Amino acid sequence: MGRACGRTFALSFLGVVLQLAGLVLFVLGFFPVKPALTGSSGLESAMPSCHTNPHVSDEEFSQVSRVSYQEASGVPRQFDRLVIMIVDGMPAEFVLGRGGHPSLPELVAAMPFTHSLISAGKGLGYHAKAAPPTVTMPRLKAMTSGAIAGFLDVAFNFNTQALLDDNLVDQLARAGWKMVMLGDDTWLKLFPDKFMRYDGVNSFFVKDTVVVDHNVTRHLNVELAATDWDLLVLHYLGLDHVGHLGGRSSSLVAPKLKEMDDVIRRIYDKLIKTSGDRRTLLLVASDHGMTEGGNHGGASYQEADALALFISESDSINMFMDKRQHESTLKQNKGVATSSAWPSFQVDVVPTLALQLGVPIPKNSVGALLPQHFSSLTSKEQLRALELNAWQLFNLVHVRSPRSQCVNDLCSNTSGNVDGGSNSDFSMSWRTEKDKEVEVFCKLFMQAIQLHSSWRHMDNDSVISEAKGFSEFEAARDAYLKMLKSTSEWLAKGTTEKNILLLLCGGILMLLSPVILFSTLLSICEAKSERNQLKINSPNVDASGDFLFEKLIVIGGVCIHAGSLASSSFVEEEQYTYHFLVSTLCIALFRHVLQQPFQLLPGSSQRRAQANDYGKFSDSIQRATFTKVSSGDGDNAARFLAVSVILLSGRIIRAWHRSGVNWAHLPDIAKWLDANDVQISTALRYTALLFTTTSSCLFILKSSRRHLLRKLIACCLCLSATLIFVYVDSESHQVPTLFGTTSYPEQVPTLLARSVFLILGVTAALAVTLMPWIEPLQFDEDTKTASYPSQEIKRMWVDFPLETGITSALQSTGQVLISCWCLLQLLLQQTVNAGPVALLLIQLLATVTFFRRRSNRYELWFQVLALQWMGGSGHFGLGNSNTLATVDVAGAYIGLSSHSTILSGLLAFIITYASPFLFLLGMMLLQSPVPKSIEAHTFQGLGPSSWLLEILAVPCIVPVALNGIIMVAFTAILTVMQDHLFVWSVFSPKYLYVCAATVCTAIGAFVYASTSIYYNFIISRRSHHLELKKTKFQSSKKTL
Amino acid sequence: MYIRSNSSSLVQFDCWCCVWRLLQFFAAMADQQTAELRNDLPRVVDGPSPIALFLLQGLCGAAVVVGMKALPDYYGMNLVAHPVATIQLSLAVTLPTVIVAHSLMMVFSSSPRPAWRCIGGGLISLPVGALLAALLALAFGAPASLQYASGTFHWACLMSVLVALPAAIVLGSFWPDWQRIFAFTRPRGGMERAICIPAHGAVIGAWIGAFPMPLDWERPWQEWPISCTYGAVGGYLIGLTVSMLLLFIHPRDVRSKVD
Repeated sequence: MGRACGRTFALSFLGVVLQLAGLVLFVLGFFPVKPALTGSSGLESAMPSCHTNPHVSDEEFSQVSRVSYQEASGVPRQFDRLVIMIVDGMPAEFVLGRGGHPSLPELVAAMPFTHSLISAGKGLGYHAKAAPPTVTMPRLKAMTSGAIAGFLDVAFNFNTQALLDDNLVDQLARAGWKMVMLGDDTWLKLFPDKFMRYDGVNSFFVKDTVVVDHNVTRHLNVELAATDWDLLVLHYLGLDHVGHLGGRSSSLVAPKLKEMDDVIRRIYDKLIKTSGDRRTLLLVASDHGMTEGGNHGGASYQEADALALFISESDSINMFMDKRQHESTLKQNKGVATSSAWPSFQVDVVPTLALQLGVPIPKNSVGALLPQHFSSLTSKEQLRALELNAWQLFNLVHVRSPRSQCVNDLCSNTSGNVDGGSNSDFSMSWRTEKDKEVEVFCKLFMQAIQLHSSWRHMDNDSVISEAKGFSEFEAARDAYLKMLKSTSEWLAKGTTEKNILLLLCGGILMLLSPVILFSTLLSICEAKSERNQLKINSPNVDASGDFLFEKLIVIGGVCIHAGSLASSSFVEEEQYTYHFLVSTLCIALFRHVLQQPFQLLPGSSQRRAQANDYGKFSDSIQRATFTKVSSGDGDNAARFLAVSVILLSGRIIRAWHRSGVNWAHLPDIAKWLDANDVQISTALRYTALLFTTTSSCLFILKSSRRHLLRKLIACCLCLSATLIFVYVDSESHQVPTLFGTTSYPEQVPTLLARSVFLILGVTAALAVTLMPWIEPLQFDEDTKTASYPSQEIKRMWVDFPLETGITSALQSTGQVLISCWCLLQLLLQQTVNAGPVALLLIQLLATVTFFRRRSNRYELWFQVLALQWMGGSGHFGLGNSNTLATVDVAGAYIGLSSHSTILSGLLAFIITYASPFLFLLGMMLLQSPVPKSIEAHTFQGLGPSSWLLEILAVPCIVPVALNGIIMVAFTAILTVMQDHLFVWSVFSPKYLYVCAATVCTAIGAFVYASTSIYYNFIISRRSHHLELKKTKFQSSKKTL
Repeated sequence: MYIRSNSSSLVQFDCWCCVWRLLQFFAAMADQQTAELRNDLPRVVDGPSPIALFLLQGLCGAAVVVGMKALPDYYGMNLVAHPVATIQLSLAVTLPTVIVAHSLMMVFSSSPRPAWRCIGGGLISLPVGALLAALLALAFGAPASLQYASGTFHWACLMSVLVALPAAIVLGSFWPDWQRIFAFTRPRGGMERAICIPAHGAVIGAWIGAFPMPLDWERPWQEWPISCTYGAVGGYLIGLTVSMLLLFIHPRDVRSKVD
């Protein structure tokens, strides 16, 4: 036994390690960190050349740098002051309309001043397309640095602090600008100690739509009058909060827009219209849009449709859209302005602002400047600005593909004097798609440089007519713009070379893991089946034991699930797949229940007699099913009920949150609760709390021997439940609180949450360590477990003391652990999620009840798999989805007084993986069916080892193996789909979820494995001692 | 090495078992393994002749095709545009056909049952089966809003006609027979096969029909009862075909009873 156990343990450990290692390798290979330039742009960026080696150029230019950047660049600055006004979550559609049509009349009416500015040509608005994830922090980074981070950077830097890349704010600070920030404190985290005055507001209290904005606006009078700043940042969060509360069509939207319009009017009147010597630019922008329901995070048009509106005194009606045309469009739209037709991205703001303000373009910016804003400059300056932007982008191209021939040629031939001679290299055959793309940019760039230089010669000549000069200028400008647009888009798309070796190694390791795990599993099952076949020489067909239907469903279900992930809509709507699988499994269970003789009414022996008559066939089935155990009355009814409860609670959980993407806006229970009074959901939370505590205590105290430890644990659970009760009350901000009319001190919720963490942790630790010591090792005559005839149990205790002891100790511990976990979730989850948490507990208990019934013949692996699927189904029932937007970030700060990335990350993980982990813990409650040949094996002394091995190993191996299959399948899919349109918006976020699920499963398996091995050790020692004592007692008796 | 070789043999064994059982499942429900059991059956089932069964099933299949396709076409409707009306039409054709055909079969069989019992049983089973089907559909995630209630109701009626009605007419209210056919999938004789295989086909078809619903193709046929109705009818027709073919490919157990 020892050898088999050791081998199983080693192999499954190897399987888990391989899985994790493969995952890490694959992730590193698939999501490479984008090669970025370090340092920040300085004077050298004014020189048209490749300067990818910052060290050399830095030294070189710092010596020369007596001249200012502006002189070197040759582009004069157009503004002396900048006001950035961010309206969080405002879709550009609200202001500019969509597709040439103006926005809704009530929204237009809400912003009269802004629209008057746009139609007067003082403002120029763009649909500035934002890159996913459309969340504030990464968007602000993109709007200041111009860089679009790699996927993993975004995922891991959800709440990183200071922005270290080269960015606009740093550049302005270096140029000596004084800055003031009012609004979202994300700015303060990104740029610590850059602002000389600031007032940060927090975005946690989503329900507040008024005070957040008032806290910004109240400083306006002072700041607008002050003259000591050069950059003023205003970040209004109100509209985002309005969206989160009521969606796009909320009645609060129009008043909020009116408020913003008033702010714009004040800034315009105070600073722009009457500025005098200081030219001021106002940039009204939003970081992202919002969906119909007011959420954001994804890549849909509505979420990515951010606004960029440049407002200044100078007439920004430009060369591309002459005045007459502009007026005709205005007339067409009844005086309501629509956007500039120029397609733009959010990052385009960065080079535009940098050049307008006379600072170098940040190094990693991938934006292309918006040419409309430079039309007031001379031709020479315009071309110069374009050239600067082009070289800056070209440097990025150079870093992305350093081996490209053409790029290297251009670089070695520096300082812009490339002539037609280098065209000879173009005949080379290019290897990859990417190289070809780079070649295209390279050619475009060369063309532009040539046109530029020819225009320069012509300009110097000054003999040629104005018209010819202008057409030459236009040709050069268009060439530059074409190059900028295409290069910028390519850089933003981020096709970087993937490390094939890492991918391959990771894939192979991942593939190995399920193979190993399955071979281990099969060897366990084989040992068991061998034992059964050897020991029972029963000729009759085990009609209910072959489970063909169930096997089909399981194998088919896993295949369908794995295969469905290849479709982006099935990834988005995975909750339907899971729910369908669980329901199908329930049908299989129903079918199994119906296969038993029909006895919904207890004691209907008459019916049974009749049933026995009807045919030998059914009779033989009956005999086969009940060879060992006589049919218990009511057993079937209980199982029938249990399956019904599973189905019903599963259906309600599914209806609770309409997770996913395509139908997320349709009504569901959570939305209904949110729309109603908050008291209903709070009452529901109290009910769930009461139910969880009561059922847990009942189950824990149900055991025949009410040991002191059990009572202590029950007390701890009750205590923590009480604390959560008070916590919920203190969080709900109701004025007559439960304990009087005074509101709670500010520190109370945090303290309460912390004490709940502590109590639950101690309880769980106590249960895990001490439970095997108090578990009875012998059959207790006055057992009260009603569903088991004591005869049966007694025989189990006699025949399998070790196995039965371990199983019952694990069950006790499992009960405590799931109680603790549920209470923790009731503390951490949002109030609306209390219902699903209780329902999940009900579902788990019903499943366990079903499988623990005496007539159960389902193998342990099947039970484990059923729980695993239910866990996956419940994951989506708690409002999670496969997009990153649904991670509950607000809950991750419960009980924390200061910001800590690790702790809040841990809490977010606990909240997100509530359901899978609950069901992983629930595996401790399962019970493997007793081997059929009790007498036979004891005589031969063979049996118990493989049964014990099954109990110890199967609940660890099956979840990891199943997860491994899904992981391998999805890894393969991701590799195949790497050029798919949705790879960054659908498949990659799902891959992160797959990674997190792997970690969750590994932790669950580890908890189970360590607990069961520890229990095995303790209980075998205790029973050994007991044996010794018995023999001593007997021998002493004999001697007496 | 030891584990690998053994496990692979076990896998092979398992696969083979599955395939074998599947074959049994569809082809010879009453074969070798159950032969000995059947030999000493207390109640010999005397099935109707294969030709009568063939005609019966052909009639049912034709009724479904006419009700689902031909008649709606005639009235210028189709399932996608007018799901409820189409299912109503199809019920109007299928329900009487199924009841009359199966009742006739039972009335004129070797162990006749009175016609009123056949028809009455069928009519009672219709709402019961529909209720069960609707509950199952809801459990599987059919929308619970009132907007879809009519669609759910009609789909459930159709399922009831295809699955429960023939069984109720042929089996009556004898629970063990129901259990044997629907819980164990072990029909005896051609008549029971003619009920069992199409019924299972319809259920599996409806189950598969739900697969394309979450896809974001935004096609009208992805709406709730439509694709499942297609699946159910398709599965039913396939089941009919299989059981009709089996009448001639595998008529052994029918003949053995005749002997």
